[in-house]
Amino acid sequence: MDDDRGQATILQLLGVGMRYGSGEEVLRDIDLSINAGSFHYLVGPSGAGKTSLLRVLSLSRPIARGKLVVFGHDVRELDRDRLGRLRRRIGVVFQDFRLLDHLSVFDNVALPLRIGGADEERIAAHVSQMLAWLGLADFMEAKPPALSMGQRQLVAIARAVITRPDLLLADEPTSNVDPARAERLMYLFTELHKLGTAVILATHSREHLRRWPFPVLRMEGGRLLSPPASERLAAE
Amino acid sequence: MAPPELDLPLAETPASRFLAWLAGGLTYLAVLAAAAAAFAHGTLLRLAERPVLVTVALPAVEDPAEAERQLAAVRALVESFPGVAWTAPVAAEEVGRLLGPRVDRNEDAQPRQALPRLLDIRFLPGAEPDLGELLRRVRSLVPTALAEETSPELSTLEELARRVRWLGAAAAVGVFLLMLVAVSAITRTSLDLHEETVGLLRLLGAPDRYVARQFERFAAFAALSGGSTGFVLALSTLFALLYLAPRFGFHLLPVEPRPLDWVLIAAVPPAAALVVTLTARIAAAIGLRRLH
Ligand SMILES: Nc1ncnc2c1ncn2[C@@H]1O[C@H](COP(=O)(O)OP(=O)(O)OP(=O)(O)O)[C@@H](O)[C@H]1O
Ligand SMILES: [Mg+2]
Repeated sequence: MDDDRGQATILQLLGVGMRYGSGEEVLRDIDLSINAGSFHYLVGPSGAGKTSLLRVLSLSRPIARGKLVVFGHDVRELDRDRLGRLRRRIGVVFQDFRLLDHLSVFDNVALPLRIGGADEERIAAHVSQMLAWLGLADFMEAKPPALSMGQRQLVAIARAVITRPDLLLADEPTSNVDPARAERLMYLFTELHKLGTAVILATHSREHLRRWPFPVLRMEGGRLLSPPASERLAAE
Repeated sequence: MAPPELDLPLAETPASRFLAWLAGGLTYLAVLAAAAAAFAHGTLLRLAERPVLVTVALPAVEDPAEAERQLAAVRALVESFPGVAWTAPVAAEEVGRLLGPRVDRNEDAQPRQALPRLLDIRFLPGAEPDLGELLRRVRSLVPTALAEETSPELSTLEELARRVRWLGAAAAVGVFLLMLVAVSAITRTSLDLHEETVGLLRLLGAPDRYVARQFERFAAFAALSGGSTGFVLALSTLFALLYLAPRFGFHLLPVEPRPLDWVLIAAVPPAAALVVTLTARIAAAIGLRRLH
């Protein structure tokens, strides 16, 4: 059963540990529960494990220990096709963008829709609307290597949100753009959140935390320091 | 022909680009091999169609009336035999000429003795008569009659055609097997080269069949573009061998292509494209399953 959109908890981690190869664990004893339609910041010093946690949540790295339940499915019990179906409900903005350099901006953004089997007419409408909104209308046919870092980041974000995912994981999505663009992006994320997308946003920006107050997940040394609900920056 | 727009930059990797050349070269060889087999088969069929000729010899009989009666009876019997087209008694002069100096002749060069009678029998084209049964029946009338097949000897041509047919068929099968092996190897190699992009597609939720289809679409493009070039070159080669070479005095096997041969030859490129495409899909699917 995939029809669990209405269920309150979309992500659940119990005692999760994760390591790269045979190295020591970079994530330890993570307990976390994320509700549908929620918004969380993920903060912590460099090397704390924010990116690693997002990799676990985006199902791009296997866990070494514990239990991970995504949209009501224990991921260890899923075959690859069903895992793919869950992944299509998750939008990811990678810290290093991971765009396909041989494809145009348009095709990069269209990729998740094509994978999901959308028809080209809908894809054309959606993608050009999204790119126009992000100020990239003139770059639709450009290839990523011809873009600035900031523009690439926008393309990566457009690709992550184009399917209006149930869960959006964004790894420092505003680190390369100017303040005006960053504000526009925060507006985009909060709008998606209002439409029902759960958002987890790794950031170093105190400015964001202050202007758009949401619960904060704080990490250090591979551990989650505090349960999110208990800490609200707005209350500070 | 422009390569398809794919999520994987397959057109940009040398291993994949080589696929079109490979498909072209192998299609070229497969078409020539299939043509050789088909033409040789046609030649064999024509050789089999050539009518059987048999000559029946009846010993000499002194009484001309009796000789006449006996010959007529044998003719009637032979003409009722299945597959016989017609019979013709060989003229006495011809028989005399065939027997030559062995015949005792008078001063007018007329034979002094009665001569054996020969009866030429021609069977319908393609008929495969039981000559033993024919002789048995004739001997029920004339116990000392003889029969001999007199069709021209074509066994060397037949042997050659048989060998060409076998070699052509074997070569065509060999080329298809080579295609299978080479396309799997190339697909595996490009899968490894694009492992990172494949990982990203999977992360975006692409099922394996979506990724495999990328390889399949590229292979189909390579097979069609390379294969059509190979086909045109193979047809030119065939045309040169069949129609130009004889004008310059080079005669190959007595080849007369049948319409069916051309149908077979035209079926080779689509078959090759299908093999290449399916192989790429299956090799990609297997490779993807292996890729963690
Ligand atoms: N691909 C990798 N292979 C091996 N170790 C890694 C890999 N990625 C990260 N690490 C290690 O895992 C630990 C956590 O790193 P991670 O990138 O998750 O931190 P982060 O909180 O995202 O840091 P930053 O704020 O700098 O992005 C670090 O010690 C890092 O060296
Ligand atoms: Mg990071």
